[in-house]
Amino acid sequence: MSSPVIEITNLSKSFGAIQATQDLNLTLNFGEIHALIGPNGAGKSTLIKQITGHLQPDQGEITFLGQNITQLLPANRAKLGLAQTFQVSSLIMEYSCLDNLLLVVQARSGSSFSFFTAVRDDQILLAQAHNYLQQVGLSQRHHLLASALSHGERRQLEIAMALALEPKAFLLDEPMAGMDPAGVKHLIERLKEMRLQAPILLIEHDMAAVFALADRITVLDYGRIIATGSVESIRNNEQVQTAYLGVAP
Amino acid sequence: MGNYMSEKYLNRIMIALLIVLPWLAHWLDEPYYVSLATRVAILALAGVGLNLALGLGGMISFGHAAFFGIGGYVTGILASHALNYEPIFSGFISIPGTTQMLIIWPLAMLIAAIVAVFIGLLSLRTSGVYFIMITLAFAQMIYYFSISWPAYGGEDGLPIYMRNGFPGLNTLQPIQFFMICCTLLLIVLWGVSRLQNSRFGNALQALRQNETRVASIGINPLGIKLTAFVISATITALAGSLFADLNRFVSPTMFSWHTSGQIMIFVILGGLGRLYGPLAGASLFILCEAVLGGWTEYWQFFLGLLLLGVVLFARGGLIGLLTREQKNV
Repeated sequence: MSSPVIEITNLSKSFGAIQATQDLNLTLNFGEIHALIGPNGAGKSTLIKQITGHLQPDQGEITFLGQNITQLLPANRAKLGLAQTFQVSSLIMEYSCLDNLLLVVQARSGSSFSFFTAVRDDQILLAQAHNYLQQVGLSQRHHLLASALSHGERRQLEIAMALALEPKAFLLDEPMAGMDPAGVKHLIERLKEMRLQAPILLIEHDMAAVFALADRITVLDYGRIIATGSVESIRNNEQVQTAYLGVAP
Repeated sequence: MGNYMSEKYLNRIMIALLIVLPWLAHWLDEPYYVSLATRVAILALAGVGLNLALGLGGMISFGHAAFFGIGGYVTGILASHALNYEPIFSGFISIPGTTQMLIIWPLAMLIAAIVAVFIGLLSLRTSGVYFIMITLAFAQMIYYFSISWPAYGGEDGLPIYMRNGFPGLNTLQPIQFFMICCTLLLIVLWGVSRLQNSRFGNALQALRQNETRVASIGINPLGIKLTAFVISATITALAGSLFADLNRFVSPTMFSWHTSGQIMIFVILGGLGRLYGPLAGASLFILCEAVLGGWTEYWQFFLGLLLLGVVLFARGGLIGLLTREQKNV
């Protein structure tokens, strides 16, 4: 039994009277897709933000590849190999697709404290950036500004940026949100490939996608875990059915 | 790409004018216009400094007068000690003043950099209105300090009896001093143009647009922003040093928030984030002052209208306006 990639122990976070995360324990293991589901306001995004470092937990500990990262800045967590995609596409809007990726490749391949050499003259960086664009099928659109992309293309650019980090774990916050059925189908195939590279913690509302992809599912409600287990056990869990899946018992 | 080329073209025209016009004035024996052009070059330099923080990095510093004034006061203080032969500091070693620009500039920039690190570390943890207010507050603190510190003239300011020297040049001759200022402006513009396209500039401009995203790919925002803020401060301090030598006088006005506002006006008039924007902006400002100021003492009213027009109708500033027109032709 190898140790988990991400291990969360006794994590708590509250905003005033609202307990967004309550004494939560969760692991992400090598090679798996671990889906995190739950109704709106269950604390899924709050949890992701605590893992990425954009929110500080009140209590508890997060370890990543055996290292306690609870106090690290978001940038340092990313450097260790945590890649995320955002619930609402978060891109450098006035940069082209290629420049968005160039920035990621630049961040991964060394220091950003170089002041005189033009980054766009660096053929190695450019080639890498093009490569990731090609992987998500945005090669033809490389010169377009991120702000000119369609919703679906923006989601794909986000995925490409996560891939370009060559991470040790993916945190994907509703990657399928707002995508058409063809796009969802395409993305499901892509996530199956990505899991071979690094495990995925997946927040998703599209239950068909979750059931198709996940090895394990954890159900959150009011910041607590109400169930965790294999796809089958979650599908048949009565508590989950009433709380979330909307099936009458 | 067409837009980019025509902007390059416009930039070359501006540089050519900046160099040719003062020489013309020099040959026509009109030193007033040479010193006017010198002011343009110096104020543009101050603007180039601010533009790095404001235009590229999105840091709305309302306190760049602090660095402009530090540049000025370092120059004035060093020169005054050199002229009355009193060491600045005497203990087990004694530090004399100097009238050498080549020593004054790096010192002015170094001291501005140290102050910028301090201000930056405290202010860059905030953003938006709070950042504006903290930078303003620091500049005002230094302003009131300079007023109430009698050793260097206090409210009356500090005269520099002889313009500081540069090896091999007669800086008292307006055209020679102009060439010093103009050369420094060109060197800094070249440096900033390199910086803009470097890894650092790439990260800085991305930060302006989406800080959370930049952090999430492993670039620490604070380090990049602080570095940009400090570089920006040193450029503005260099301009302050030249400004002191141009006027042969430094006063607390250099530290006042009017000065911060003026530098910001150059940047916005010319076009936020455009490399040559501050040059266009400072030229326009000085032109307004010289032409409109001759007609009415309320010329700043018209400057206000102009600024309003630019902000409302020409977001790319003067340069944006001109290059867009060229593109349509």
